[in-house]
Amino acid sequence: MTVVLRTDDGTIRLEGTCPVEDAETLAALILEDPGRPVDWVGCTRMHTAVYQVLLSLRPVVLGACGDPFVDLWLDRPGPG
Amino acid sequence: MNDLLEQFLVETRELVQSGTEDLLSLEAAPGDAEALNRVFRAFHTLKGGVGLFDYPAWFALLHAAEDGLSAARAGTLAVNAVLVDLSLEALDATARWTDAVEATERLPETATAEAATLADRYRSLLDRAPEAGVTAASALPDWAARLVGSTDAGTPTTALRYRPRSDCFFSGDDPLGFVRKVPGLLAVSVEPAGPRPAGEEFDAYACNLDIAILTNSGRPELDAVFRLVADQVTVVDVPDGGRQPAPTGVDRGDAALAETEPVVAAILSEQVRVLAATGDATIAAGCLEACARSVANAMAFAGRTEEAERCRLDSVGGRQGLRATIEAVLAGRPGEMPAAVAEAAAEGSEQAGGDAVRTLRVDAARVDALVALVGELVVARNALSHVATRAEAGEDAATLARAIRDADANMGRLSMALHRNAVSLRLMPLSQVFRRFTRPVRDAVRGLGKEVVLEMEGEGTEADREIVENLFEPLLHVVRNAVDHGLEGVEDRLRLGKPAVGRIRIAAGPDGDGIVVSVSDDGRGIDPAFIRRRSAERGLRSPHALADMDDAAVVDLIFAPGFSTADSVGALSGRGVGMDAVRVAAGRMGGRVSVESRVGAGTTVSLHLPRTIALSRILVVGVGEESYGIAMDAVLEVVRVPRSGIRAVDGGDAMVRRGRTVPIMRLAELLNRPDPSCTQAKALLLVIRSGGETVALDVDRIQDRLDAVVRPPAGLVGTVPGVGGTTVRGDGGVLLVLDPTALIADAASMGMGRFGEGR
Repeated sequence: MTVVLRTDDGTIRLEGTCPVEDAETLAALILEDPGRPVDWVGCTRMHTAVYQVLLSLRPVVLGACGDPFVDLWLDRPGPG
Repeated sequence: MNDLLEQFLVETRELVQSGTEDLLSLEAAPGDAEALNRVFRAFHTLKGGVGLFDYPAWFALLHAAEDGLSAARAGTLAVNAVLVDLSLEALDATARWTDAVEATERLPETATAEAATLADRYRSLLDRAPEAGVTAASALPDWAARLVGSTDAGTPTTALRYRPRSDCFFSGDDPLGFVRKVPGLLAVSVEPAGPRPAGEEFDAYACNLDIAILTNSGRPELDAVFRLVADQVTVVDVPDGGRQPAPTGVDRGDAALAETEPVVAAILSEQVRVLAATGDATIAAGCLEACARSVANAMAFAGRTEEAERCRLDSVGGRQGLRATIEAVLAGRPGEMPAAVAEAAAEGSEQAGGDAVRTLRVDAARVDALVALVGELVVARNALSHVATRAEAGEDAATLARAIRDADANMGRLSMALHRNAVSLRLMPLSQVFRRFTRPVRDAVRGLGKEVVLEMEGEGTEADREIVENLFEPLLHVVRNAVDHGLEGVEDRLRLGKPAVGRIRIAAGPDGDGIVVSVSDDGRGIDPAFIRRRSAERGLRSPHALADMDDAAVVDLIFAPGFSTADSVGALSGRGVGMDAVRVAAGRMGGRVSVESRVGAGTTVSLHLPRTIALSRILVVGVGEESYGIAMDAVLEVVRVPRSGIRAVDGGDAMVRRGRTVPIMRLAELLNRPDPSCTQAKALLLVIRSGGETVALDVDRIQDRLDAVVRPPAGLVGTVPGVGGTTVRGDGGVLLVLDPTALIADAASMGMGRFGEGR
């Protein structure tokens, strides 16, 4: 489990390796409250499915992605 | 033998088997894309396996086959008999080389030439195929043009569009994972493939992406990365300032080296993935060894021996070390030594040297049951130590005896259950044997002018591994006989008003404690009159005896040794070639074989076999000074008859029992033991059923009965006729367990006691 909902500031945090299973958890958390920002600084490796959730649901994304591949090559998803 | 190699051999055989089946179903339905995919995957996995070892010729063949199948998948090569036959030949070669590697760990000397020939045939197929998959470079599609326009970095040569299947996550794909592996990446665009249908729930596990990338590496490199999802990928060459697109494989001359590189690269990246994925310490050592080896072999294959050596050395430095080295090589920085090597050195070195475990594939539930039983056994043992404490405390003997009896009974029950469960670990389904018949039947039918459908039923029936593995040969005999001699030619069948296509049915099912496997055909059946004639000719039975046998007993004579010989195959109207071998094989497995036939309607041969190598009840009999065991289930009854009631009949002894004449044989005589004449006034006789006949064995005494695991005869004992196995007695001595059927058949063939003619 590398998707964590922080109760103090209400952000969703991705940590370490985020495998395909995390996609559903992440999607559920975002759909629950679309205003929650996602912090992906601590994510070191992101599965396609997880990226797809961000791309489709377009939450506010905080910081630079910790997965160098995503950071270097992929568009930063976000509202708008 | 190396454990990795052992595992490889097992898997290779399985893959050859499944590949063969899929090829055959592909032959039946050339449009079956799923079957084609399965065949491709079988070859792909085979190639990966072979790549772990140093068999370049084998690897080259599988690589060529994979290319051919890949083209068939892409639709640039037609799936036809030529491709199927060639692929079957490649699998045949693979099967033969597997056997050779098992025996000598080396390929046969002819392998290199054979591999080259087969690989060339694949290539010539490909060369003739139209290059339909290559899109003209000049017409750059929109998506590629957009991507080129969006970037000014580097000099792109190739653009690729990858639209993953929507269920790709379920098959374990990580689409961006492929993109990560692309060398020379210049731009990536990932977009939703289509708008999300309004109002519908978001499905995180449905992939809905359109991925496009731009790279400066060539088509072969991309093909290597996206090989497994080739059906979801479009590649186009990007014209670029006069630079020609990478050759697409038509020019074989100087492309040969470049072509191996992507394969090598693919192998290397695969190892990185494996190394990164392995978290399980129990398999890490084997995994590391495998990865190091494949990398080293791949590099050596590419002629980069120096780097191969380095990879071999770095594997000592553990997972991280090896991974860093491979990544360095992949990134084109082969000289760079990873800093992580030293610190990671401790991680895997000890495990790498340790022994890996021999593997057996077992249903987890069966292991759980076994563990539960062992737990109970431990509890039962504790009860025993409690009794010991009570004994030390001076409890009286009678109470103790009862407690000990209870504990004994409990442990006895548990050890029986444990035995049953342990034996069931070795159970495997018969489908493994059944599936192997499709091919021989297809081959046998070709050239015979016959048509056959092979039906199978009950392949889920399970039996002991030993039995399943030994079943193929006798069953093949029976099936071949059915094809050769049982079924009529198409014209004959039509004339007889039968469907043109003959039917052979292999069925299995439970039969009491054991299993029955039967082969039926709807051919011409066995003519008893013919069997009578032939048996008389061959002197198997006297004409007198034959006249008294009913038709069923006569037909059963096809299993008699000497009933037929290979040179008379053509003369046979029914069957019979080597059927005695079938009976012997069934007997060796502790089973028997029977036949049922109706003239003109067909024949069914059934093998009745034990399901497991179970505990057998053994009767211990004494002859002179010695003791022998006889399986209790062979013994119909034990009788004592006065010697005066035994008569000499036709050169042997016989008695009349329930209105039948039962021949009597002295066990001492059968075993060539000194026979201390018949001193007792009454003879002790074991009436046994043997090969369809009832015979009485004259023994001196009955000593014991025991439950025992009978081990098949091995070594010196294996060559003694009539010995079915050995077991260990309670006192530690070894008991020879006799196989009465073999014993008597052996005696009969030597002309002793013509018991078969009794009435």
